[in-house]
Amino acid sequence: MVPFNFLVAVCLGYVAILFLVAFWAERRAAAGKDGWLRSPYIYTLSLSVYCTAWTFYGAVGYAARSGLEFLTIYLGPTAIMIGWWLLLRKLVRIGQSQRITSVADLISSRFGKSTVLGVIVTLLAVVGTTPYIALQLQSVTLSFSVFAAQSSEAWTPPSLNATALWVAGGLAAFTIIFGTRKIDSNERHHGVVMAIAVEAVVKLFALIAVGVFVVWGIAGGVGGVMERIDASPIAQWQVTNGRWIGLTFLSAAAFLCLPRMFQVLVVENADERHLSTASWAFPAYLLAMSLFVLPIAVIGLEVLPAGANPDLFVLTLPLSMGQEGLAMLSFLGGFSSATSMVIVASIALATMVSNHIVMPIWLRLQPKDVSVSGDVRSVLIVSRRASIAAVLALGYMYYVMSGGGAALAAIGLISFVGVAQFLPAMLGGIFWRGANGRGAAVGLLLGAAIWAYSLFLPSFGAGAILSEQLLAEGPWGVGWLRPQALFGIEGLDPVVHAVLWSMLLNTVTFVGVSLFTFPNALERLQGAQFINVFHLSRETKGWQASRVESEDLLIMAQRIIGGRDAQRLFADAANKQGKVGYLPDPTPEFLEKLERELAGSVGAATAHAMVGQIVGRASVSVEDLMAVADETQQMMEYSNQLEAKSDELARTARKLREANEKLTALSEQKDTFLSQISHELRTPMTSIRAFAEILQDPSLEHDDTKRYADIIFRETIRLTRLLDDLLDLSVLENGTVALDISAGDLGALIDRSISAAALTGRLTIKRNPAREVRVIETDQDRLAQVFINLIKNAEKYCDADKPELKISVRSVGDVLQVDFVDNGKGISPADSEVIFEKFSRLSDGARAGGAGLGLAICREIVLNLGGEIAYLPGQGGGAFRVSLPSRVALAAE
Amino acid sequence: MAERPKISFFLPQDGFRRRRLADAARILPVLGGILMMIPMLWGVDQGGEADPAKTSNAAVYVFCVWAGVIIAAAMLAPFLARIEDED
Repeated sequence: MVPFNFLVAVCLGYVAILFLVAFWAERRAAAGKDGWLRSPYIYTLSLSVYCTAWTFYGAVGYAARSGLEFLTIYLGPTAIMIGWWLLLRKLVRIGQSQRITSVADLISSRFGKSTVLGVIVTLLAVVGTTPYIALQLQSVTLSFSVFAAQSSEAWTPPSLNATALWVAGGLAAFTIIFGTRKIDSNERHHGVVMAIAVEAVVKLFALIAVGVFVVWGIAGGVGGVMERIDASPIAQWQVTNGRWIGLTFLSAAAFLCLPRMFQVLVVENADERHLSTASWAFPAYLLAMSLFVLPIAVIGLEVLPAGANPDLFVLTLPLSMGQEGLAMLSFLGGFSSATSMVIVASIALATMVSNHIVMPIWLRLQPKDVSVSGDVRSVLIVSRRASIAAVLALGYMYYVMSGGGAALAAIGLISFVGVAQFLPAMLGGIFWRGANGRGAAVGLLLGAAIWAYSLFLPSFGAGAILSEQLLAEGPWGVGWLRPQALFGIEGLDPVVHAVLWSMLLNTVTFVGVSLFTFPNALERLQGAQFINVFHLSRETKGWQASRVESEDLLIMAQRIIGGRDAQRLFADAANKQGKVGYLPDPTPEFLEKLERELAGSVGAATAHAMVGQIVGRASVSVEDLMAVADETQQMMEYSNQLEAKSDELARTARKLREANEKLTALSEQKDTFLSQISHELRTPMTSIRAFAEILQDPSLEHDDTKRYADIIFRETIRLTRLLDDLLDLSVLENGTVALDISAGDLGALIDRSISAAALTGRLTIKRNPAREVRVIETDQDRLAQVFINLIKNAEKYCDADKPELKISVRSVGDVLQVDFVDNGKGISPADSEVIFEKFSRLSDGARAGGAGLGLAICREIVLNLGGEIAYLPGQGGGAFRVSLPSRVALAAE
Repeated sequence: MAERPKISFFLPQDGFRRRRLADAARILPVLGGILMMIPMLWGVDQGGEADPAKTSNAAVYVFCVWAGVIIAAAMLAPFLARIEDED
């Protein structure tokens, strides 16, 4: 038997541990050692605020009543998490880039930073969440009462209401201490998140512990459980299709829209990448949470007396088996579920209330002078703290007034339907450019009204708020307006009925009004930002430069985000503008940045209004938008020009590089040429000097003298020829050669060339004289020089047994081609590329006499004559083709 | 083609791979949704001739599909996170 004091001591001890954990996390974060706190698994665990006491205790009760239907509550969030790539990724990115502080801020900010929408969403969230907080208080007090009932010792627990009051007070203290340390909602509440993560582990562990005890301790293993399920009152599948789909959809919608879920999913998200881990880890957590629900329900139905409350099986089952330790653990699990939900929900609601209700009213009350007076910071903190206390007080009052009965147990789903009304505006806002604020407001109001009329108010019971007569017959006897059978459609489950009509009409009016009205300029700007969040990193230019005093702005900023941060922000901005000091020019960019920083603390709408008070213009006009568009256009043109210029520069650089390469190659060629020429000149000079020395010997015989003189003579001839060739080449290369153009017969020219070549008779020459009869107008002597050279080469290098040279003439159009083909082995392809270069040596070294200038001279001559000479491969021997115009154009002159 | 080195699948320039991974991320919830709709075909006891499904079998089915989807998501997640990084 658990004494009451012991129970209270455990409870307080657990809370103390949570305080310590939160303190420790805040300390570490403050010291900059927050790497571990930012882990994706902490993020995943923090999402478990979805699993409240309603799911911890209630899921078993739910299963005991309607079998597997309880799974819908977990399948909806699973779908959202698994599909994170589609939706959550965008939501989180928008949340980070726009510094969104709550679901109300998201909708208000998207639709033109509208104050009205912020108020609507905030009020609906408060109405929807307060009963839910009451439900948590109820579950904690109920679990206390379970222990009281079990206790033999006649401790009279203080009345349940007092317990609830203590719990609410304690939670308010914890939340105020750790939930309002930072004014900027975008800064993480490390302490709170860490405490929630710990609680997530405790509740999962507790539920699994009870489950393991039930399955293996009572039922005797998995097989036993399966048999007992088959034998239980819920042995058959009894979920209607409408509820299966409807509730899954509802839980998915609520997962996105519940203020506390939005807080942990989007606002407290430290890193977008955490989503990818949470995408599977959180569904896995949910699966683990629901794995043992059915066994516990079935065994509870079997073991416990018929009247037992199935909502408390998780507690009463271990107690009835005498497992007090386990029951205590399970109690802590339920306690964790309840407290974590209440903490996060009250932080989220307090942010919304203070940013969207208190701040606008406070601003309105301020005298309309240039600067914002009063200490905004303290107003904010006080309003946050007061809001937390107020939210919890509301929850407590709701609990007391509702009497903690069964009506409260049904509030979970009812609350879901209420907050799900945000869904159309939220999804429309981030995926549809055409969505506008009026549509969102009308849709929200209509959806909320239908929810209240068809589900929320009737939930208090017939006669409580709506009279029995109204419920049965409709207002003024109009049958099709009956709250639970709208439009005369009866037989629907009340929750599915409310989901269907409220969501349908909400969406239809939202879309319809958006289609037929026009958004204002700021809405359009914000819409573009939200929808293109993955492509647009540029900030909205909502402000036009005007004569604002930066000093006023600084004063205001200091009052909201604190002196140090504000001064740093201003100094950074001034620095970026190239100024020294703390007062940057109030450029549109700077105003936008400032507004966004402020929005992180007070929400987009209030921040916009506050900057507007100083700047003197609270919204942009369509003209401003056009100006922005013009500016963008100009910037694009300028960037296009820059691009064109840079292309041109690249082209020039390429040309320069090519020219440089050419120059380098030429310089190398020149070096080679010089070294070769010296070599060519030195060889004959050496022999001349040697023989001249020998000739000085007086004892030389006459014959020898004559022979040596002869050698000297021949070497000088060779030298002279080399020098002549060089001169010739240089003249030809410079293009300064004087050509002596005259008309003559090609055949005669070839005849002359052959005889001038002074052949030894070894080479047979084959010709077709008939084809050679044509007149060519060119420099006859120069062309003959080319032919002679080619014929001599053939004689020198043709290595066939019976050397043959075929000279054939052909004209192609205006071009005359003279081919010289011998029957030797020709020149290898590698060599054929260089034979026209000066001093080129063939790789086999078959160079006999000459300095290797012949073909180079030939090429220059032919080029000067307006033609070209090429080596023809694949002719069965060495083959050269000289192509000439039949009439030389004197281009060179 | 199975010899393709594994690393090349996820190089930044491998845009095709990345888009198909993103497709998989989009298809997975749809597939899970369809599989989870199958229980709607089991029917509810309405005094008809066909017996509704047993809760025990239904639970096994639902939990298996659920676990399968989670495992698939867990296998996709690291690659998707890498794509996120490159964005």
